[in-house]
Amino acid sequence: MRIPNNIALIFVGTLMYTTPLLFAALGGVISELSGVMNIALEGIMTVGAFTGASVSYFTNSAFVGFLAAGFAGALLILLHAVACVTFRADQTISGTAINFLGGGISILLTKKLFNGSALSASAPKLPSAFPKFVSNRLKGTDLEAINAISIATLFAFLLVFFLWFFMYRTKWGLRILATGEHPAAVDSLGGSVFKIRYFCVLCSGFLAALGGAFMSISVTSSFSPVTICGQGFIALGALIFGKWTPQGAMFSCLLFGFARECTTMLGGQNGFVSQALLEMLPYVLTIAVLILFVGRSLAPKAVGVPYTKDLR
Amino acid sequence: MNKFNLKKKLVPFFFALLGGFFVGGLCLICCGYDPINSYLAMLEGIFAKPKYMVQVIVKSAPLILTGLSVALAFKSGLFNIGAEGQYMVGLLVAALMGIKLSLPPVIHFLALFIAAVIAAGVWGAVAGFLKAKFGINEVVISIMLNWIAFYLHKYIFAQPWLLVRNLDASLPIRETARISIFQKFKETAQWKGMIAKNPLFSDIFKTDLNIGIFVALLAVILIHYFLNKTTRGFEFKTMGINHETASFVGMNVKRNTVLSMFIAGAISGAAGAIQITGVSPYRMTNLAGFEGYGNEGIYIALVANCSPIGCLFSGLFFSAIKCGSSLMQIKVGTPREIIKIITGVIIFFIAVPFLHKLILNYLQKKKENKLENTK
Repeated sequence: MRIPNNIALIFVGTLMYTTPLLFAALGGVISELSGVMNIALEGIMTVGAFTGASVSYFTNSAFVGFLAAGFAGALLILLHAVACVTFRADQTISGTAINFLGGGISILLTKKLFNGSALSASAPKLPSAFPKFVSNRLKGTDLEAINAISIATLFAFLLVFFLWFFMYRTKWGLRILATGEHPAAVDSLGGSVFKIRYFCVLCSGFLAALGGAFMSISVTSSFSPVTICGQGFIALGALIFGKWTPQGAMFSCLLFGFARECTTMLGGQNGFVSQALLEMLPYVLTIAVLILFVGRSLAPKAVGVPYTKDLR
Repeated sequence: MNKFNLKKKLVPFFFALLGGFFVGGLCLICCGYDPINSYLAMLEGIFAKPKYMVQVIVKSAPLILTGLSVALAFKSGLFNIGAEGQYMVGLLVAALMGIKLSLPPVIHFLALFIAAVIAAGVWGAVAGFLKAKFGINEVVISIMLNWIAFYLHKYIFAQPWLLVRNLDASLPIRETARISIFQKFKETAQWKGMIAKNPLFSDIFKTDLNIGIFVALLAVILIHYFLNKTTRGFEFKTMGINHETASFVGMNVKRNTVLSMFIAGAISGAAGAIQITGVSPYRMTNLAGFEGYGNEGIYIALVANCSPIGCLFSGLFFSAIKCGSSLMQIKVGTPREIIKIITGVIIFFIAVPFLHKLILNYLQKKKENKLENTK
């Protein structure tokens, strides 16, 4: 048994399972920090997964598919933005609607494009995060496995840092935070709550869809109705778990990713523990961590509250 | 509620409906299917035979119940996204008791029903308790509990004393626990004579007609009464409208949070119990993903504007289009996922009632123009 090799495998697997959740959770963070609740992550991820798989299949380029998925997600969540920001609709209802629309459209189009089958044809993968000379050097060593880390994973983790910097260290980020806490204050200082919220919700859709696309392009390499299967909701849980911060979301996604990787590793090796019980672990763990360490979760104050000028 | 109020509530719903089917039709045209024939087939799948109509009612019972569960939680300011897990716990407990216990007919069902309801209630109350005690968001706990329930189902399902391998299903529930109407009667000679005489009867009784719908009706009435006529119900609603006010005037918000989630869980659990005891094959099946009854409860509650009586109708409605869509897929070949889109658009238009305002404004203007012209 080669220990470094096994550790590398677990590392790679953890990152692979973390990435889609991380993209979606970061998307959710942006939207919720600006004061728009986003339970539509599930639907957006599904659309992203579908668009990613089918566009990269037809164009034969994973990058094009990945980007296209982002734009498809932004397009779909535009509905959510219009409903929540312009028409001041109930954000839970609108989010639920988007979840259904996302699922329905994806499966309908998959059946249309792939001759009635609910499973898309397999798509090319995204390239490795490491440049050629590094991966060549790693070949044959115990650490060869980490070549499988996708470039999108790298991008997701860079994004965490970028978002943290943007949110807490730049004036635009602080404006977004203020919009989520006290939109009237932003408005009275001449900022546009509408523009800020639109921008944040669209970014959120873009990112969540990237998460879905990563799932279908790099993890399962095709789209089926169960590709996403609740991951959007897990991302939602992760962002609440992470107390509405990019770095918190990253840690909670890593926890999920790690637990999921552990279950596949342990479950695959021998049958001494039931697979189902193992798979339950991440969720039990989350609840335990929430009770023991995290406690009261404080959402941005204005989340879920539509803004009108007369709130000033 | 007076007539005017009712109309005010129903009109946006009908416009949302119209919008949903219109947009759904556009999607169908874009994908190269025939919307009119598809919708006709869907209608046929709902109304053409008494059998279909009974099926709609049978399938609506769990939907109404989970909708009610979500609605009650919403009324008290909680988002019960965990109806799915509670449903599954109810189903699991009911299944285990239905398979393992042997009791006389009616008592068996009552026993397992009560056990399932309490178990699911406790499952729901966990989220309420953690929220009240530690202030942890109930949404995240409920999502986790859903998954735990899902894997619990998988775990128990895989037990060798439960599983029938070549069927990929569990042992069936004992007959004493089943709630199908005229189950025994169907096998008698008298019955067989009746079929020959009256095809209508045979058609109806071939379905899974069970008492689930009566359970759902009872729950609707009870919750309606509870919310509108009892002190605790009033406290729930106050809590839903303003948390601070409720605690300021001395209501026990923490206890009510737990209680609300308990009742919500219990109702979802009832849905699970009637589903396994009322619908053939009365077995647990291997789940690839969530069954969705709990998640469907969310939109049923939302479309009903969280009113218990509204849940009854929205449950029936969504059950109808669900049932209708199966015939549509078989007959016209239109993928049944279109109802997901229709549902999504309906919910969207309920969230954003601008469509009906637009049309009403237009009609108003036309009326005014007419009046001016006649002058």
